[in-house]
Amino acid sequence: MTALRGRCVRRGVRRGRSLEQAAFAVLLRAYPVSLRAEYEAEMADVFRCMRAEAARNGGIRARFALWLRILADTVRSAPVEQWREHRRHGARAAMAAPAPDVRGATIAGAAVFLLYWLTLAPTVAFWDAGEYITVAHVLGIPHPPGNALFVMVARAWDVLLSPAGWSAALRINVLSALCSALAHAFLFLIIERGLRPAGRTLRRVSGACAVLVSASAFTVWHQSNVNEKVYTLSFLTTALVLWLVLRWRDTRNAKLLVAAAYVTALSATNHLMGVLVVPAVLLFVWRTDRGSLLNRRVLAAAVPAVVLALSAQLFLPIRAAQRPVVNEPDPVCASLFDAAVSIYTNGAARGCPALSDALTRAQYPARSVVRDPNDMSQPRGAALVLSQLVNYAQYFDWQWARSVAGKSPLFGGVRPLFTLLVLVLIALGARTHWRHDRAAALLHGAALFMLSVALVAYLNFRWGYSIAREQFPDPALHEVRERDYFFLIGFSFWGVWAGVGIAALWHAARTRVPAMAGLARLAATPILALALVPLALNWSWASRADDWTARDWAHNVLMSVEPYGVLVTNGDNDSFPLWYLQHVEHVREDVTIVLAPYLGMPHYARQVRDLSRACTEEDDPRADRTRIICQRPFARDSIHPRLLAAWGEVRDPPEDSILPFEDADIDRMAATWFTAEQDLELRAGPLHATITRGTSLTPVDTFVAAIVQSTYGERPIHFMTPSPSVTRLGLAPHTVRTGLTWKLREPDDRGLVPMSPDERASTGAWVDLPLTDTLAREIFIVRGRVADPDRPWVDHANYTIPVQYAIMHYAAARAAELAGDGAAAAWHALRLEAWTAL
Amino acid sequence: MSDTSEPLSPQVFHLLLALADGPAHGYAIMKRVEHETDGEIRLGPGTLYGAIRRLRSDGLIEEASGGEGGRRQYRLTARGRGALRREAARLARLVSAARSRNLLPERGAR
Repeated sequence: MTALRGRCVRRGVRRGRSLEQAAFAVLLRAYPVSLRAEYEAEMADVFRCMRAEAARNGGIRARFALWLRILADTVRSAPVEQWREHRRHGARAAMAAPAPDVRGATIAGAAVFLLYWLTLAPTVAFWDAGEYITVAHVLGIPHPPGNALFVMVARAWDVLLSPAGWSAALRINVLSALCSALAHAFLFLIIERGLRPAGRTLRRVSGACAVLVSASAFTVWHQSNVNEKVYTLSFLTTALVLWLVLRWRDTRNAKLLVAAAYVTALSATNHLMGVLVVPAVLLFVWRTDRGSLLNRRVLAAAVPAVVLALSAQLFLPIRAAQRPVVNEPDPVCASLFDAAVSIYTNGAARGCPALSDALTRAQYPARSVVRDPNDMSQPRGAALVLSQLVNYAQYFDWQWARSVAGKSPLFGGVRPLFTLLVLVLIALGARTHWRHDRAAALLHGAALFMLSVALVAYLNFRWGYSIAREQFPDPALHEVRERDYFFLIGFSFWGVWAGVGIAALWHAARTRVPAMAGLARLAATPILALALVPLALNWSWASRADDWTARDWAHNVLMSVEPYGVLVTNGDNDSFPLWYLQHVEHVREDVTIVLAPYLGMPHYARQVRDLSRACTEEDDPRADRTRIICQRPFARDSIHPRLLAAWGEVRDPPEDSILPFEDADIDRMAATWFTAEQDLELRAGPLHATITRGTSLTPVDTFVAAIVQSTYGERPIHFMTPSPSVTRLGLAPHTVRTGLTWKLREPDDRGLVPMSPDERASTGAWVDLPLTDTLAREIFIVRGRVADPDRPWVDHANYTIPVQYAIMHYAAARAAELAGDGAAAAWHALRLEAWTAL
Repeated sequence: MSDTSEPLSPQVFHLLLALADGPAHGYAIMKRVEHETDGEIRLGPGTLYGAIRRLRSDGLIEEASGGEGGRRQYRLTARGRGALRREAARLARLVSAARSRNLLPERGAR
């Protein structure tokens, strides 16, 4: 009856505590803290009573049964209590969550967009801008990893804005500006939230300063006012993910975690840059509520969300099968299942080899984070690591006052003083952030670490473009260009802390002079002007307003090529702007551009073959200009009459492809590497060239030789200069300067001026003076920024562009001089001087 | 606070029923429920105190003063007693309906 009535003698819970009671105390830890805080002692007391009863009733067997019952009860009830606690806390948190300052964020984002709009590139730019704008417009596939998300988003945006009447380039550039502006709106929200419980004024001022310094940091700005890369989209997703997890902390709405997982996975289909934030996010969630990381419900929603997001990669094989006109990795798959295998293993499995190669960037030389990128047999030495860190510091130094000693790339003039000032402000900003919200500051700092130090470690660059040039004069040992754009997001985050530091300084100045509060408040205001320093000192270098250089360059190059000509190019800057002009603006579509380094990839050679094959009666190459169909026609109506006159009679459309070979032949040529064991003769009709004994020939040379042999006489063959294949194939004595290109001399070319042997390497063996003069005087377009001698040539790595103009004018001036035309010689000499002065 | 017009779960019903005779501490509640249900419902400490917390939060039970041996005792509130009555009536109606369809033996018959 004692047990029936629930009699059990009360004892102190801890006094004489047995091993079983200790074990039960451990079990109790499975329950929420709040439940234990209130009932732990009572639960332990109940257990003690149950144990005493078991001992009375049946010894070992009864105690065994007791433990089974206790364990079953714990397994059944502890997760239920945890989940209820989670929901209870979530509901409380949602009610208590501070409302985000959406209005402030909207104003901040709009201001940033206005800044980028005012300094927006009106058209295409150099490097990858031509490639990305072109693929956005034609729904093409850019270089690996293919950037599926960017292409789809940019194409949708392109269509959406088409009623505006802007050029496609302007539309895509606006997308870049918009992505960065939206990212800054989220950064405003992040800082405004991260500084609670500070007053609203300080939070808003901090958010505004953070956004201003971040948005006007040189690389952030210079990459946001043109679409050169896909990183502004990564920037947007990164800022969005950080905001989502901060908001999750406030509301405990698990859907926000799922959304963060979805956005991150989606960002991975743009570029892996967007995934760098993951460790910081995991750290933040773990610190906040580690149970959420493995919460069954969250995982049950997040995993399908991630799978769905990654399916965006299916765009690559689907579109590749339609043969778009720009299709760099050609990720064609036998089936969608094969494609899915490659996508969901990120290329590790060879479900679809072409897609796996694209996703893993297999076409590029293998790199390792522990090997020297210049010599993979050597470890990554301390000198190189130091140089990589100096390289990062160099780019960091560019961010805050780029125009100060701008032409001096490495810590020029007093620029480092501005950098030091910003470092102090960053320290102050980080401290302020930490004091207000440690978790948010840690999230920002961890993300920054991933986007700076960890990224430097991962990228493992060669010697920087402008570093150690005297020590290592071989350009091949250096990066081909400055790589600051990789660190865009990190520089933004540094700027955010610097902005918070400025606001903290201002706040301290206004509040710590109580005796003169009113005056001190007024006197503190100029401190905020520090946030304007990057804006003022970066403007002239970051602005791309009125920069038509790349578009005009592409126009001038294409006009240098005669109708139905072949143009062999060397790389990004002499190819991508041309793609843009041909495929987006439909200028000189008749010219077959052959990007020489790509010829080593058989699929690219096949694309060139098919793009230049003669059309049948059923073919209409203009029916769908986004796809490869056949040779595109020469549009006589679009050509200036003076240029038509200079060309003379325009040829008929060619009857054959420039590479009239079967796939198997192309595959074989793409694998042909050999060294000439004796002098070899390259013959193409009347053209005889000698390949010197001992010359090492690459697949590119083999293809170029094949193009010359199959096409010479039927199509004009032009080269961008300098052309390694021209040299190796012994074609240099047959080159004729025509505008910005060299053309292989043809038998009926007339009026050519021979150049002296010591000048030929730059000018070409001959100069077509009438044609070059007509091009330079009447056809070429040179306008905007590049024509203004007071505006700097920002990117030294593409200085080859003004050099090409200068060489052309030099060749024309020398030819005019030799031909006795003093006036023409003087005119070209003047232009030569102007281009050289840039 | 939950809606007490909703049917109660068997566990909650029995727990409230255990307190209908007067205040009791946790172990006593557990034993009363076990006895009332012929051992069919055997609450463990976790289930018991999870339920106690919710019932307190819903205002169906409250802490009673003067616990035995310093133990905290619980008792029904008026709201809890009302909920118990409503649930008992609901169950009675169910039983009556089942009996009218000869699904149960007549009252008193075995």
